[in-house]
Amino acid sequence: MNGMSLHKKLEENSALLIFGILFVSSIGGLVQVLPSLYQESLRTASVNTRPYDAVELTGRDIYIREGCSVCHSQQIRPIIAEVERYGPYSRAGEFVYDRPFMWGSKRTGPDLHRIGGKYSDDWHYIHLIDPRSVVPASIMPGYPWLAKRDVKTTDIQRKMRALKTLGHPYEEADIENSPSALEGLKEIDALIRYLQMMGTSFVEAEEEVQS
Amino acid sequence: MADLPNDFWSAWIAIITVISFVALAWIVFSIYFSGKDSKTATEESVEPVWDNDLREGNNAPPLWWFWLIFSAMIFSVIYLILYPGMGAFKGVLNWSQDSRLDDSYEVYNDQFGDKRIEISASSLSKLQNNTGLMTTAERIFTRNCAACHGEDGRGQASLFPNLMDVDWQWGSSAQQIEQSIRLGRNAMMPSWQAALGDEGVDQVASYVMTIGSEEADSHPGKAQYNQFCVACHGADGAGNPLLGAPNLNDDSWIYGGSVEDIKRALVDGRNGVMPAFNDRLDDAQIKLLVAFLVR
Amino acid sequence: MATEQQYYYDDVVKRLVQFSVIWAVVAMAVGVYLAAELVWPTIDFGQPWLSFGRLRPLHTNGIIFGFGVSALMATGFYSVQRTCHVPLFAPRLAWFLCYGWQLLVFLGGISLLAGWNTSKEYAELEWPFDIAITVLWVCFAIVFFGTIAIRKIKPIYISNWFYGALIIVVAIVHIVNNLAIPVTFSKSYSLYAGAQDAIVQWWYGHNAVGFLLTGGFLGMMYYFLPKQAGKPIWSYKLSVVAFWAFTYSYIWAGPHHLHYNAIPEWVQSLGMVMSLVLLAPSWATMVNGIMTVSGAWEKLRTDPALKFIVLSLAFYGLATFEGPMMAIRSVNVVSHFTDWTIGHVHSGALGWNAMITYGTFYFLVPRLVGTELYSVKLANMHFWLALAGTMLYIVSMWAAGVSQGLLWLSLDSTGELSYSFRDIMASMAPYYGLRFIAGLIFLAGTLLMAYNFYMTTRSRETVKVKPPAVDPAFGVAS
Repeated sequence: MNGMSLHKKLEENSALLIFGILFVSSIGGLVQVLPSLYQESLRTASVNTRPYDAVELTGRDIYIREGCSVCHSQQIRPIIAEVERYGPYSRAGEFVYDRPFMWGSKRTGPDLHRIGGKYSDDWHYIHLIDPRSVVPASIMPGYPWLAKRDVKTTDIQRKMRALKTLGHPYEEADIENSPSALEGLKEIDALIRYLQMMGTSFVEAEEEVQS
Repeated sequence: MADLPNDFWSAWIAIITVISFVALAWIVFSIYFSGKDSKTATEESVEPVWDNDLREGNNAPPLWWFWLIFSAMIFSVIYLILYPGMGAFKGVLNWSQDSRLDDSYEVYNDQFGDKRIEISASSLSKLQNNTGLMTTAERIFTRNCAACHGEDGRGQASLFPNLMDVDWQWGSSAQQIEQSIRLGRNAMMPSWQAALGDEGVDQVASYVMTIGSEEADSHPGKAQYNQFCVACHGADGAGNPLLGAPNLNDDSWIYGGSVEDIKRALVDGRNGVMPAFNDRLDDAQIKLLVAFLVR
Repeated sequence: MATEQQYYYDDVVKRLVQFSVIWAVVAMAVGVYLAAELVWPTIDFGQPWLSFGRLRPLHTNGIIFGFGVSALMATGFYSVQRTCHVPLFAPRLAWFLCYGWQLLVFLGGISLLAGWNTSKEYAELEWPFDIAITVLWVCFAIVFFGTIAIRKIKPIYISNWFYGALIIVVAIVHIVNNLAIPVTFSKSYSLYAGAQDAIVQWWYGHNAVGFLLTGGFLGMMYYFLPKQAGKPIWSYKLSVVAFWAFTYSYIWAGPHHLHYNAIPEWVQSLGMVMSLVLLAPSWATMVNGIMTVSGAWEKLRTDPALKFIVLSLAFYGLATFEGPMMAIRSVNVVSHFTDWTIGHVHSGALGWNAMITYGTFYFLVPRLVGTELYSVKLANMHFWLALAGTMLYIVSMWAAGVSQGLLWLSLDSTGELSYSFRDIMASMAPYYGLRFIAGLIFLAGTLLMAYNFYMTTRSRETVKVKPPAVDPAFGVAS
């Protein structure tokens, strides 16, 4: 028996061919994907990393809706130039409440993983509505509609319950109060809250260790 | 990050990888070096023809291709011995992303460490006289400060203060500037709408416009200014850098200098925030920025 | 059976080709608009649905699922009938698939503009569409494998292995990657979180490229190239070994999208070495294709279809060499997150996928209606526009990406970053301008082709073709 006679068998029997393709193409996934689903470091939260509260979650979903991840990564690689430019490199444990992950594949704009706290809320507000009013060379789109629209309060409880079934440790009281936490906010406010908390848990934890 | 929950998964990764790799090698090898005509061994020289004229040619595949995949596989084996890949096995080099970063920081410190310590210990005037370092300082400014204060540092958006003039909201001394950078600043001007009422807002705004001129003394807004505003901004409107209260008797305005702008400040309050950069910048960078900004 | 259909079902093939061309024009036009937005950022006019973040998934999904998959269904149905010597199995299901798929792409596109977006690349469509894709994909599998099951000739031809792998593997990675908990009709949360989600997503993302944009189109090549060249495929042995090595190694390569990211090193290393191994099967097919044409070079001068197919193989070779190089850890430090990736993708998407599809369509369309191509001259013009557009595109993005990557990493004599992000971004303007022009040129060629096909097929019926007799030595007893 050699590879060719094995192939001849598959080539003349469609069921065997289908099985052969299934078998050969599944090996990679079984080796790479399956074990990583059990890997502890990928599902254990870093110190201080907590699930998004109602406002941050709403802001994150706006970030997803507007496709921000198309141009902005949230992943600082352990490379000196990136650590110098953006801050401490990203750890797997910081992302355990990110569904989906938002690491991105392209930096048309800068990385945002440690953007939290770098600028004031006022700056984000102006910059989101018209980026060129504060960064004249910017090629980022403006998002004026975010300042006009009220955040949706009707589905936040369902969102948080869905995440709770996936293991996010929400208290029932937080879920109960979530619509009122969103009351009166514009979409831009929620988005800014998300931006301002992004990547901060890790830095806070480091400070605690130092002091 | 070889923290697989147990040896099972580590063995799973390594064993399946090795077996499938050997199987790939076997398939490639046995097909490449099978009998010249194995495909038609049973049917002699008859070959299938699809769709009138579609045939499979019998040319022997080129040997260089065999060496291509062979060398790629040899490289893979060597790489997986040297580097982490086979489950929990860390590789002979004991390489990891963390160790790579640590190594490159060692090189970085050898190369730049002394220089950076020297910068943070230098006098400001010495730094200011070094044009090369001031170019570096300007770049640090561009990366960290320009988004708010403007590319030329002259402030923008009627929100972010001008850093190129003599009028500094939180003080213009080197120590004050350094503190602003390190710890950030939070301005706290509350809304005075309730205390002043609509008419009061109009009058105080109008008064602020006249501070320093002759008509100020007799202005009807003066009484309320002296009651509510004087604690921070001073009787003469000169402000107080310790509180971040801006000077009101000059021509420089952070949030705009029209009566309307001042009324808005009185109605809404002003709470400008300068974020802290202690965590983002190191001593050398802060020193360079201070040297770049201080007059 | 008396009711057995005697002719191939080519009407559905023709319709799928038409849809494919329409999606090519639409999705490429969107791409050109996106390129323009990076030069003139205000041309979204403050409209959410014109905003870059919403249009970009429309561009990629329109190309992959609209243009690409429609072309693969068309060419797959055309070739599977002819290589099985039997009309399509379940033709009504094929029609359902044809229109169902177009409706899916159309509504899916609208949903993307409305901001329904999972944000997983090439899997942006929300869960109702994911379910629809699964159902339609099962229909695709039934029609395709059903036709193979009722084939009249025993050996299954090479192209069908690749189309088969496309259907099977894309089904698996699509389903696993899109598992999510629905919250509302337009919103769901991924079953995986963070780093694990990233590993699953790029296992999907890379194999959507691997088995759809590479494997599927290789199937196209294995049928249409030897047909058009009038030569046997050069080496059967090489195609066998290439097929299995390809199917085995491609699926491992995904983690090279996550080098130095927060995933374990072992995953990255396995992804990297398999990406290097992958170079061999990729090039095997290129060699096989080019050697097949080698006896028919004279046709290259006159035949636009063959020209496109051969050129596509050259770009295929380029892209499949570049890919493994970018998968090397140390190269990836520079290339990751830059426009180099965009250039790489387009040397594949424009140079390989679009060109081989154009070549195949220039072969297919006149044959489907039994006439000559309306204008060979226009087709030749299209060839040069496509070549110029592709070259300009990949050269500008390569230059942009490499300089971006190196400038981001550059440190000055004090250990300080040499350039601010803003300055590097601003220096991209000329490259982005060139890319916009490149896209326009490529789109212009595609429009010429659409016009050429319209004039070729206008008011013509699909030709009826009967399966030829099968050599009894290879026949299937029925």
